[in-house]
Amino acid sequence: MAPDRPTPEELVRRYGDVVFNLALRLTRNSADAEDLAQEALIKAIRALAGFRGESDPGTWLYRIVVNTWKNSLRWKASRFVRRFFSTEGDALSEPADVHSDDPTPEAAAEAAERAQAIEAAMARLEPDERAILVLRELDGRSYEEISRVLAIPLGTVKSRLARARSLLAESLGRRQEFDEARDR
Amino acid sequence: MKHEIDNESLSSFLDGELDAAGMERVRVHLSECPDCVGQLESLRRAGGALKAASVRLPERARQAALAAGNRQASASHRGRRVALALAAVILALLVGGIWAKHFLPGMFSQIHGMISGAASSLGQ
Repeated sequence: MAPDRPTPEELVRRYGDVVFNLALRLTRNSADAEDLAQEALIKAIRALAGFRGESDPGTWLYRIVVNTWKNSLRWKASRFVRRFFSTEGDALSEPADVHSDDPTPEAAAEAAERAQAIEAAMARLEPDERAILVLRELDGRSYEEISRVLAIPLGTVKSRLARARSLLAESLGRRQEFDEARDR
Repeated sequence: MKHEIDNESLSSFLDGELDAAGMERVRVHLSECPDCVGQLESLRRAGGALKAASVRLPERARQAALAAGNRQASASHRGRRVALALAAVILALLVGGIWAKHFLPGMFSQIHGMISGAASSLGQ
């Protein structure tokens, strides 16, 4: 059965967060990620009337995000100007709203350290490896769906996901060892 | 112990993306290999950590996307209504003209004569 056409509100509510996280891992800059996420969502909402349900709405939307990002890479001059005048640099700025209800300072510090370890791993990954991680871990997309979103073979999805996970696990493991040594 | 299972197989096993024989092969190996069990668990934890570190789409971006998208949808709707109204007016004029020519031939000839006379006087 073909997926129903979502309303704009349903589209943003269901996929908005993953879209932003995907944009964040592709651009590695929170300001650029917000622009990319917004632009992709606007494109998708405007194209909803023509959505015929031939693919899952999420797969369709994530493909718009990836293609919009690839198009933005061509605007190298504007990116250079933005960086020249930007005070943010390339590092991720503080996330706007992390998924966490735990308000304790210890939990916040732990979350910040974990984010640093994740960022260190992400820096060693290629953009599509980061995208594959997000689509699999944050939205549970199948390998076939990921293959369609990124237009890469299924075997490539498997190998890149395995590599990305290993690097991430290694980075988090090193962080844990450091914490344990520090606490002794 | 010889590791027959590579990292890619472990990762695919985690996602249930191996065929039935592959899933069974990994399951059997895990029952005998604590190292691979530990590696599998570290891969699982890595995914969990990434999910825990995920962020929400900023509200301003959410609202801006909905506003811009709905504005475009409204503009398209208005455009369609204007086009329909214009088509109705043209149709009414055409039908009216045909009706006048058929039922009021005298009036039509007079109007035609007035237009021709005006055009002639402009040409002089």
